[in-house]
Amino acid sequence: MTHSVASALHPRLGRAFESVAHEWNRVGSQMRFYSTTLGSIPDAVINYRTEMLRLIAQMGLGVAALAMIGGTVVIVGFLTMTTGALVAVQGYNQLASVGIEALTGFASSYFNVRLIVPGTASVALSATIGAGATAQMGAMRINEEIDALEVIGIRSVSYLASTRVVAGIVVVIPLYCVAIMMAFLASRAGTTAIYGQGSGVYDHYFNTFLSPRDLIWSFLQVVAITVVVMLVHTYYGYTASGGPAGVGEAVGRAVRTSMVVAAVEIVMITLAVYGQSGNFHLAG
Amino acid sequence: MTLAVTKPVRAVGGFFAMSLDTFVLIFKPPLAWREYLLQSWFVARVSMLPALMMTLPYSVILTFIFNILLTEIGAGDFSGTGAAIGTVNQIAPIVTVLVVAGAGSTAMCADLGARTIREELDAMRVLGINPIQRLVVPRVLAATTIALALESAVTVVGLVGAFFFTVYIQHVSAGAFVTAVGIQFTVS
Repeated sequence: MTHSVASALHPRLGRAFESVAHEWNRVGSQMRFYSTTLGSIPDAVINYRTEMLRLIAQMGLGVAALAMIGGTVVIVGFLTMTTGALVAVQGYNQLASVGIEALTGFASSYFNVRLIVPGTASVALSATIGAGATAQMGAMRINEEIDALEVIGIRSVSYLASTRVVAGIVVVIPLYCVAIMMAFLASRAGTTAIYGQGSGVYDHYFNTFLSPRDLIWSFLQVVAITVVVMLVHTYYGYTASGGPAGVGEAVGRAVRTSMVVAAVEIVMITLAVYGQSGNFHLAG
Repeated sequence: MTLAVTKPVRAVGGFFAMSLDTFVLIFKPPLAWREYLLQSWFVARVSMLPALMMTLPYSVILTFIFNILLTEIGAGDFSGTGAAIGTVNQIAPIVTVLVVAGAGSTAMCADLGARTIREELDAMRVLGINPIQRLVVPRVLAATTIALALESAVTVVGLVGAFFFTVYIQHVSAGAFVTAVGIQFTVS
């Protein structure tokens, strides 16, 4: 008994359309996940407080053996220390080539705040707490723990994703302070100790050009980046599939996406905040 | 307590031991060239788009911030220098490393990790195949090769992005920008 199945009309066109539609649906499901996550933040704060505190402790300082060598604080501090030293090296040398190396302090207070610390922090956050969140949630998804949560009546999105977003925001506040302090100190140490500039000169220009408003904007920028990074990472963890290797791939995809999104976000916020004129006056 | 102390130290030691093994085996034939080609293609495929999408924002933002400063001291013509130094010396290497690590290497880590869990690596050892030579060496070489190629692509894209941003949005003369970039890279 053979039936001939009618072939679809324009199969290639249909497939192309389907793949476009699939991508489009994925964007839609991502948006729905993000809005659900953000919408259930109050729920998470009210009902899942213990889990949130546990996550904050875990994200901030790490647990067990990791705490000694590489809590998030240590990693972010170390990263911004190196990039801060980079400001000293590049800033001093480039400025010295036009004879104004006295302004290295200005370079530190300007580039560190506006560009380097938000950029470094975004990478560090996505690599540490973000990747950690994806791996944890991916493992839970693979082991069907998320389905189990739903079965016992726990709202999994708010229990897993919203708590992580809030924990990320809470953790990033001290983290930002550590990051920017390390960047400033490294720039100062590099300029004064290694290149031998007088610390009075450095401090004068540093203090003159350090604008508290820029600092606050930079801080808010980092908080906004954290929200986006945690959203992206929890989404990829929540929808992981394909066994242990699938979790690893989900982490890779999440890191990739969040780094691109964070870079775009930095540009958008910087352009929005500082505008085309730059909102900056060298001459006071 | 001693375990808690020695664990990180052992991890570091194990890492160096494996790195040394890999480095020695790079120079020892046979090279698993088929795996090398496959991995190169894989790394190139997954890192190309993220690398370009990450370079553009970063080089644009660096140029933007640098140009504010240069315009303020009346040296807008030098914005090409800033873009050149920033993109070529700093952003392109960092972005390349981040993307190769974030896009290619995480997938390799997941792949090898899954193979270890499923005891495939042990099976290879039993068959007398050195998994480092067969699996790790081609991956290391592939990531290195592609990073080299990616770096040049990223540099070009970053400079072109900075050019369009500087010329069309910040209204710096195109000739001045190109000249400044050129001066920066003239071998003297």
